Amino acid sequence: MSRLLPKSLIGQMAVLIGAALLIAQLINFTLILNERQKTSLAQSQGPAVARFVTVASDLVQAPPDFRFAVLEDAPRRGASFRIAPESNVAADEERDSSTEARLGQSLANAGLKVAEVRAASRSEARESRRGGPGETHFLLLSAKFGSAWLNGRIATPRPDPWLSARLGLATLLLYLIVLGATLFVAARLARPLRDLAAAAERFGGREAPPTVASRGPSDLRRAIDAFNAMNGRVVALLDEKDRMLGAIGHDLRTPLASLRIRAESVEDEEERAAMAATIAEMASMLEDIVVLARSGRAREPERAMDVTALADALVEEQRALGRSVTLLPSDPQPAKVQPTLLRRAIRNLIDNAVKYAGSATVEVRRETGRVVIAVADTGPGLPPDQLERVTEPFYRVEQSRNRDTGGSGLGLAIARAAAESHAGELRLMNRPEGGLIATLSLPGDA
Amino acid sequence: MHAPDAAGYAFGPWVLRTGERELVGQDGVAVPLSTGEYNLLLAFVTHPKRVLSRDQLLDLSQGRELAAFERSIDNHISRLRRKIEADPADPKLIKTVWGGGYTLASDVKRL
Repeated sequence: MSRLLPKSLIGQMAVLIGAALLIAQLINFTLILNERQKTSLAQSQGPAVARFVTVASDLVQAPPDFRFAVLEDAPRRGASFRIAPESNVAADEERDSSTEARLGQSLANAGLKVAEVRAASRSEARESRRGGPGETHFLLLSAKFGSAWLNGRIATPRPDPWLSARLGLATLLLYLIVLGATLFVAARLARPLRDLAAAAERFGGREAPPTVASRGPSDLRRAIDAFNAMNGRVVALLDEKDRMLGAIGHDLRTPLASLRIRAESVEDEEERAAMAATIAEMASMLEDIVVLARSGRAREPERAMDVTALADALVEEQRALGRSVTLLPSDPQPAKVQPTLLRRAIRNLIDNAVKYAGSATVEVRRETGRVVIAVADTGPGLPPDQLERVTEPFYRVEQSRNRDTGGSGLGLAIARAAAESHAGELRLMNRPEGGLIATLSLPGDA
Repeated sequence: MHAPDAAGYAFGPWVLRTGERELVGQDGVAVPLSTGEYNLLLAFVTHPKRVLSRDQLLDLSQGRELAAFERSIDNHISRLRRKIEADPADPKLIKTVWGGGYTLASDVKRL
């Protein structure tokens, strides 16, 4: 059942209200139809029963010789009366009990004693006056006086053949009007809601926040306005964070440079080398911080570039340093990229693989329209609960890192920020055959 | 290392941009080059239509770290061909001169 029900607001409203309204209307329709039919039956039966009772009481009061004259006089306006030994309604025929009760009551009211009454409603085909085929409707009424039956056959007005059709049409019209109004309201609600959801999905917290057009009912408009305002605050907050990080990274460079110069004058050679190494590490950390901060703000202009050639150049660069890095045969994959940022991201992924596994295998391929850069290694991999966390800034995998591997803990964070800045994503997975695989996917629309 | 004295060099269907150290094709898609590839290609475009021996190429591309591997020139040539030739098996731009070395068989325009 829940699978048949549509998922969207407008769909659910339409189906539920449509179904509820249909049931209510059907009940209403049945009740009205029943009532109307009863009324129309009573209207047509009343006069017929009254005529029958009049004839019967005339007969009873008339002297025997005149009874024939009464019967002769009575057949007018579609009615005929007979006295017969048998009823014109057989005992086992389909009979009309409500009319029988009415007839019995009316006869009793007129002070006539009858042994039995029978009534049936009949119709037979006839040539209509307008030429087409039609039906004559009549009531068969019969009452037993002593041993003889008075049989009456009285024409009744035709029941309105369009009654149910007219009622049905009115019901349908009402149904459509109410359903239409409901759908209109639902659509008015659903469209801004859909826009709102789409904007929330698109919102990356980076570039100018998407502004949702404020429309629909006032409470929905309030939600949309609040959403827009919140987006603005989020962007301002992130901007502030990036600006601060960038400023810190930038401002610390100058004192660090002067520290480097002072360190040169340290007498002890070992001490001097250690200081230089620490300063170099700090410098590279600051560099990473600045890059990370910049990846959020001030986007580098995008250019069409062959991502495979970029990976190839980076792999070649690593090989020149004597590292074991391989690029699997890959076709050219053009994409619109921010070259410096993407270069840095891929380099970080390769560095990471080399650092923990000693080697890396890079592949560039196209997957459902996206360019995917996969960097695989054969190292120890990562515990599943850390796969997501290692891309957080400054997060370090415990124990597995010792100080001399260095690094700022920003490498993967930069790679992820780069992926997000390209509207792409970075995913880390343990390979079934062992080792870690990092896949950076970008929209490949160039 | 001699600094390139032009913003770029156009040869065949390519432009070698010295600022970004990359090749740009006619479709505007940039093809990044490794340092070795870039230096080698720069040697060719600054000496078009001249036969360059492996020694000359090593000198021109300042391939100090490459010097240890004589074969790496051939290696870089084949890598470059894969990137710039329409059919690397039948090179039209960087041609092999039997017994002599390699030559860039295209006119070069300084940009």
